Amino acid sequence: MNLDDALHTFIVEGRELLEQMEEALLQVEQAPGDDDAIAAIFRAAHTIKGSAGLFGLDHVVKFTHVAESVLDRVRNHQIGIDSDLVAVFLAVRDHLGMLLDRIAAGLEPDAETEQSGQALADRLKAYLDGQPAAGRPENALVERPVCLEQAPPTGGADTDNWHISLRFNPDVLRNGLDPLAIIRYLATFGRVAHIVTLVDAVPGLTDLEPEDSYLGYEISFHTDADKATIDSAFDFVRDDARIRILPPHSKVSEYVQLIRDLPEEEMRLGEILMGCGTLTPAELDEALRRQEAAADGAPHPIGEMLVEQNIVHPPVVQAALDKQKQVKEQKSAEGSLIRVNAEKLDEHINLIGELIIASAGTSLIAQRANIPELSEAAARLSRLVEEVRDSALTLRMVQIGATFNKFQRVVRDMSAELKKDIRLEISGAETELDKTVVEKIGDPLTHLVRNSLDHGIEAAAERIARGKPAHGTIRLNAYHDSGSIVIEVSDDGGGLNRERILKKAIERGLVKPEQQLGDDEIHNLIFEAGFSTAEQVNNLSGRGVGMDVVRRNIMALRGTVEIQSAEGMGTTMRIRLPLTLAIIDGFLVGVGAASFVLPLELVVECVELSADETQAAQGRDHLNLRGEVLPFIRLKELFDISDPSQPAVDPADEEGFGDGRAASGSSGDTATAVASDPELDFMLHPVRRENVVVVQYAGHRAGLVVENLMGEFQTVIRPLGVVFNGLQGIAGFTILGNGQVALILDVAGLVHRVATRDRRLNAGVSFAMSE
Amino acid sequence: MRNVNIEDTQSGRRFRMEGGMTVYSAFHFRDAVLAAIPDYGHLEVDLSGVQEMDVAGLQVMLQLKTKCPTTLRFTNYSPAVREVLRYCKLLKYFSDPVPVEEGPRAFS
Repeated sequence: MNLDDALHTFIVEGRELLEQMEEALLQVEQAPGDDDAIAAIFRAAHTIKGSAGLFGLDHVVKFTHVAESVLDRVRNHQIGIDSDLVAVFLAVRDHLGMLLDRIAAGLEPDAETEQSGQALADRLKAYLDGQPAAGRPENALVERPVCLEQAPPTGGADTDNWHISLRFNPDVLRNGLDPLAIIRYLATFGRVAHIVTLVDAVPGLTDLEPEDSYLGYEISFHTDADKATIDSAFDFVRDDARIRILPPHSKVSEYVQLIRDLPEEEMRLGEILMGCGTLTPAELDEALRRQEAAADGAPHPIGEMLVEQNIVHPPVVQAALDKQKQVKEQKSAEGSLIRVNAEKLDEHINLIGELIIASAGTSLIAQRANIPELSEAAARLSRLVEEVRDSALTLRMVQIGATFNKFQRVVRDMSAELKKDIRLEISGAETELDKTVVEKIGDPLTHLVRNSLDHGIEAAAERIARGKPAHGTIRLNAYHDSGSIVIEVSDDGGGLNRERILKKAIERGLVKPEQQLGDDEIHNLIFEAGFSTAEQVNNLSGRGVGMDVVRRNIMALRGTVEIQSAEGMGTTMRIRLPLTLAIIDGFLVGVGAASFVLPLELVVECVELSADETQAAQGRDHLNLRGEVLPFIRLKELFDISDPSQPAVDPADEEGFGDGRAASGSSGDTATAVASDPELDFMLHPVRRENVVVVQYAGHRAGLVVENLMGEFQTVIRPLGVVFNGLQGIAGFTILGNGQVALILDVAGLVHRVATRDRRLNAGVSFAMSE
Repeated sequence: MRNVNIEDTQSGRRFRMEGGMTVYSAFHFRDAVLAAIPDYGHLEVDLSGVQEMDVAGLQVMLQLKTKCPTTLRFTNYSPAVREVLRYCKLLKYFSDPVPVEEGPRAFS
């Protein structure tokens, strides 16, 4: 293992641990008695300290150590945890995060960092009742209440020191671990009283493999830490070493056992233990005598042996169980997860995109070749490609919960700053969405949450006056809805003030005073650039930048945002995003020579637009769909597509969209024969027939009038170039099996356009999606 | 052997170690000194340039000391070497000019 890799892993894991720590801290703040959460905080600090020690990051160890000491007392209920202490630990977590960032950047801590670290350490030390704030490292340690087991039992050795026996496997150096680093780490929380370096196993000079480790160590160690702490020093070498730790005043028989277990000669070990000061000569004699006795005597029953050997040592057993559980959890998590470089995954997805296009081409050729076997093979291929696509896309899916949880901290800190009592409720945390989307949604969400905190939730007095609970609530919710993910940020605050927004909009000339606007339109005004109705500008929000950025960011993800607000009741911001950014199931339609793709999930149904209905609409572009009014757009007019010459079929066209027109081409002769029959004529020239594709987006329905329906099509979305950024109604393009380009329609934009068309015409103010 | 400088003096050969005596370079160090043992009466290993040492370096030192207790001398211990020896309580063992008869075992 390369050291840089290991350090990188340390930093990644460190950050994860800090996140867990923060989560647990916020949990503890709500439920101070939550021992599991406290244990989780402790574990995080402890693990960071341990790993930092291995990398020789002494400043991290030193700082974390103090925090850990306080946490240990909290864990033992010697210190109660309250919101002040949580605040201190949140600062500790931030400081550690900063230290990690600096390590990641290859920087030493600067004076400012050290100063803030020192200030925090001092605050922490205040919790360690009256212990000297600085001094020898042992001083910072927690004085543990003396365990009963550690009271000198009769027949125990005299020494106050722990005895640690270490034998490393030859590979330990190659695994990137230096035994010396561990001994150095031990010295951070105790004093190495004696150490015997055993060189017996080192082979002759010529046989020596310099990369193998041959040395063994017998250490006599003076510390106030408990066995679990000492044990944890060896967390990283547990697989690479034989470790035995004997508490002070252990029974002689334990040393006997130790001697018996070690590979060196027994006599020699006895001497070593004596050399270490662990055993007195008399104790050694006793030990050796016992050993002989044990050799001839009948074996002790196991239980008796265990008790005799004082092996059942509650804190140790607990530590072992915790450890085991932790390892098990880690193992199972590790077993089911692999860290993959995001770039590799993107490349993979891109390749699958190419594969889909290639497979569409194959299908087309197979269809034309008219060989049943080939068609069958092509069909099987496209089915498999589709499955591969689906599974590849799920690889990118992550749960939104982690993003939501970050807001716990935002809400906590900001509500303290604003002196409001605000709670955050999270639901739908397990909703999955594309990783790219998750990364990009963070900023807009932060804006929305801050807005709700600052402007949405009223001060407590005002809330009580309105008959609402004094504490405000912000809800984050996520769910899937027809091919989109919906993320809601809602608050139970004052809601948007309709009049004030309208007044401001008129002031700014966004709206004319005589205009009649619906609630939705008024609410949407807050997305205009530079629009703010806040009476007070503070450092959190209200400066009028933000909401327009939010909308722009969300639109860049092909999403939309809508507002639902009831005055005095609260506001809900609803963000709607496509599930994935790369590949969709499309619905291919044709207008003239052009083809377009709609996201299949948004298509509700297809109906025929007969001449009667066109007539009935009287040029108003509304359709009576089973008694409901359905506004529609003619794509032909919208995109100004010229008619292909009629009735002759453009050969290029036929290549492109075989289905609809093949019939008309091959039955040309019959068509002339029965041209007099209007019904037959109509059927044979389906080009004349118009179809309405009914699409639904965010609760609105609209019809898109097209000429040909060509069915489902797997679509790899390619973004349009920068030049086309301003284009409305088009979200991207894709390549068809025959190499032609088809435009992907921005259904959200079109639906919106239809919904607001009439008013837009009347009002002269554009609410179209992208301005 | 970029980190071993060799210099011949009147009394024998002198090795000056530079940089790290770690798992990455201990191998060079061992080979360089080992090759010189049969041909030179006295060997001196100058450790002043050692900035980093780990167990691998220590092992080679221990073995050299065992193999040539009288003819090989370590000199000018750098702070990094001293620290390791201090941790392992081997300072006394190495600073002792007369080799201990019973072998490389050392108590502090």
